[in-house]
Amino acid sequence: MSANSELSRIQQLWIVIAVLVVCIPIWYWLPLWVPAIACGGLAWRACLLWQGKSSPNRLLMALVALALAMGVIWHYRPPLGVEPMSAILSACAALKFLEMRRLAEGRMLILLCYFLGGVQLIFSQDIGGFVLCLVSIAVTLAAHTNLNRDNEGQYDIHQFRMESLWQMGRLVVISLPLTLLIFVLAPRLPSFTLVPVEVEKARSGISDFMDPGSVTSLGLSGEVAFRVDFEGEVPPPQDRYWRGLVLTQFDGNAWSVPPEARNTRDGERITWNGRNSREDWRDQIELLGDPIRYQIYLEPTHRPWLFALPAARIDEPGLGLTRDNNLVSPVPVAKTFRYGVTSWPEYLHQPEGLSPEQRLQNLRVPPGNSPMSRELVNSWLAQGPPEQVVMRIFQLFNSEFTYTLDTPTYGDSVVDEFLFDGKAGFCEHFASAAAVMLRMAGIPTRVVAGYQGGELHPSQDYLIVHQFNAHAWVEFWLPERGWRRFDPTAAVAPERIEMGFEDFFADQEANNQNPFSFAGMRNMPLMNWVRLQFDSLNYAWLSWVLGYDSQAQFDFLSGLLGEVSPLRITVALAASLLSCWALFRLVNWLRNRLRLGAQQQMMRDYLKLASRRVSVEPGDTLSRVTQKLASNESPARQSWLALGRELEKLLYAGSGDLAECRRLLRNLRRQQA
Amino acid sequence: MAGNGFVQRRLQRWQNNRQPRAECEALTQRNLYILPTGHGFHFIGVAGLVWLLGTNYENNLVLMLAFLLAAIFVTSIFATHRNLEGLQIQVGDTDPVFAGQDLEVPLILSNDSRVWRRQVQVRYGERDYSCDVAPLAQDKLSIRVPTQQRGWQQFERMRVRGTFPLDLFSCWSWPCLRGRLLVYPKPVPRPISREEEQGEGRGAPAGRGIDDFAGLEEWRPGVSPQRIAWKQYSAGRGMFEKRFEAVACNPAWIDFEHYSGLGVEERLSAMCAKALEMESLGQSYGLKLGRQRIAPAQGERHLRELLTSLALYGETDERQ
Repeated sequence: MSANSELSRIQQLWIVIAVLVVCIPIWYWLPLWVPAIACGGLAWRACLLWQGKSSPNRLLMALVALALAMGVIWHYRPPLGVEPMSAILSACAALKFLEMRRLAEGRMLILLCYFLGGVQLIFSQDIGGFVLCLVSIAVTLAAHTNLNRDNEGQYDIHQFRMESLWQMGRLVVISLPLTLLIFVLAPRLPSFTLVPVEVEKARSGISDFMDPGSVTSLGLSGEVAFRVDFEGEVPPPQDRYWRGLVLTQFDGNAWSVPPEARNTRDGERITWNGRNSREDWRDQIELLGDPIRYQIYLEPTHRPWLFALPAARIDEPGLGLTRDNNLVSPVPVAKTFRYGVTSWPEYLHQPEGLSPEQRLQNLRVPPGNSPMSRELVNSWLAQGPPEQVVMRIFQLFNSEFTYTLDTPTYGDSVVDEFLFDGKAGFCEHFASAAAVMLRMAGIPTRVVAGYQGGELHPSQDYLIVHQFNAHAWVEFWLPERGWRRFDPTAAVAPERIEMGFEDFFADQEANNQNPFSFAGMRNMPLMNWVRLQFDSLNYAWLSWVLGYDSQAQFDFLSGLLGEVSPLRITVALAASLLSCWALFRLVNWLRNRLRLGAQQQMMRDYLKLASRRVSVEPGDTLSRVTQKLASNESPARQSWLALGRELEKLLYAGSGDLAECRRLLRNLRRQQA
Repeated sequence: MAGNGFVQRRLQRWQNNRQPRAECEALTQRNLYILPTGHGFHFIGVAGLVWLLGTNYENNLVLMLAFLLAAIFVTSIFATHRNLEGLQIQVGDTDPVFAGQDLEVPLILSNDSRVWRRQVQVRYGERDYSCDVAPLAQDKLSIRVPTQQRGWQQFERMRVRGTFPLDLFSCWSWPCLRGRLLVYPKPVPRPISREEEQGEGRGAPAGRGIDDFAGLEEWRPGVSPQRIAWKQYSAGRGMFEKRFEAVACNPAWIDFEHYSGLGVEERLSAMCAKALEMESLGQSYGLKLGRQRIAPAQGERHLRELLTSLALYGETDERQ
């Protein structure tokens, strides 16, 4: 087989299966036109095969490739990150298949498939994604080994067998222990470029833009946002305010992060851990009381902001703290991200005062917006100091408002309509209205978006924060006291804060039961148990596999070896390889023992049956017994002879077939009966 | 293994010491060698790229995949080795051919194990052969061995190679097998020199039996010179062909001394041609070759015996 030999149909079929299995999980994350072009290429090839033509029109091929490149550039615009790269690679794999003829090209395509298997894992890192990746690698291996088969006689498509897939599956399983060993021991190098992974379709969780209804839309999603592992006691539900974003810009309808604050690369607005900056925002926070330590495993959001209880200090270098007391990552979080946080629940943030620019920003309400609210606030201001307004708002919401997922649709003047007309809404409505009113009262106020609450895993002692825990609240600034949290939702539905979202809405949702919705699962004990078990599996996956970074590696190895030194690692490596080898030998030995045992059993059965026909003396050899049986004229003579031969081979040549012996013996027994 | 560079000569000598000629060669750890192929280096290169991808994105799963590919690379060393280890190779009985023809040597691959031996590739000379050997079975490859001269032919060192399952590693051995490959002399018909013919015609030894002469026929071109009636021709009565009626009772001796004036090989070739002719005519014939005598007879076995004697004339059995 030279590299120039032609690929047989079977080999081509295997390659196309491998390409599809590897690419489909990637295409899930890409715009639809990428798989469309790729599948078009595959269909074209099928047509050509059908018509018996061999190679496609070169010019047309070039045009398709050009269209692909243009499409990628038009859709993504340079600089191109991982998403366009995988779009180009996966489509090219399919197009390359279109003109694939020779063995060398087939091999190239297979190698590309291995790489695309890696790309799959950039998009999805849960257990399912990894299993899918293993399957696609096994299929690629099967295609690979078929390239190494003789292709003679393989032109017949009916010769297609799955056998090589099982073989390669075995190869993967045998390779897993070594893989794990390398995984545990191989040093982790720091990233060199940090090309941000941005997958538009994969963005999840709260966004930096909050209009009425945006948090509500998350309210129905049972997906996990992040998990938290506390070192000490878990704080009570009413203290679990996971800050994420601060929205200071209000356009009359929606709240958003001002454009200048979105730029995470700006050194002035963010204090990066381990880097010097002109202003250290940490100095503006006065930490009081006892800290809480915990680890957060954030699911990929494809956004830069991080969540934590205030006031948070982060240990990892490279992460930043904004002026608004938020944590950010320098790049969007594209994989499950673990970070350790220390939080001081009691703190003073900017008690000395705000900069004029900050003050202005946190007081701005579009002129002419919500005139009725302004009137109401003015009437309150006439009765007392501005600080009183917070109390007033609290009382207002507490008296006649409804907290519901079923919000009425509001028009342009959303605050007025909500306050005086609808009087029902979800957390973003309350937060928005409260912030607007406080700003009108002259108190610097901002809306905070994040999560509130979380489900405590009953057996594992960690907190699961779901998407439906998404929440919005308000922070207002008072001189000398700094920024204070004010959650208007607590006024209208304190149970939501104290019990948690899921219990609060359990009754509301009970009407439209879908057993597979989150609430549906919670109400069935068995389903809920399965869900929680699955979550702890996911959690173990997070902490042991995804979170196994150089720090975790160091901790694990020093726990295991006492200290991490090259000598100890070498010894550990040698010991584990040796034990692998010993295990392998042991399994082989056991198998041989079992085989020997089976042979002896076989021999006993044989002699027992034989002694019914001829007299078997204690010193008789197998061949002697066979001779005696053979001299005895009977219709079964041939069977006896065959069995004798097979047994002899089994016992002395080590090559006989045990199953064949069993079959012969069974037949003889039936004849005797 | 062909080549005459210094390194190759040394390699060959080392190989000869390490793996001497054997009747049946079982491939073992001792005589199997294994090295990555070019494709194997590409594969590990791709594993390296995946590792770069994982390191750059600090993605543990991508790293895990890179390590898996590396582990598969290592595992396939064992898989490739196991595919050949324990395979037994021997040369089966080979039909002799005449010098210049190709020997068809049956190479028997026996598999005692419970696994398939996939894609066993044998290279002998310039030719490649391959087969799959089923568990507990044998397979036969027909190896073509070109011949040039008579006598025992050596079965050269060949290469048995396997790259299954993934072509990442090439595992090979250079077994050198003993095979009884016999080559007869190339048959070249030549006329018997004149005096010998006369001697033969004049006075056959007493014990030779009755000449079953059936008569004369008109000579046609293409008749073997031995059958031309030279007596009649010399008497000026024209060319005639002697016709013999009987098959077995006219034993003729094929005698080394009949072909004087020729070299040894030419003589043997001529005798070979003669024997074939006699056999095809259905006559009895015997052989006088130096001190060796084979009594006149006929038939396939007789011919083989005779041709074997011719093939091995002057050859000591040292090669065996």
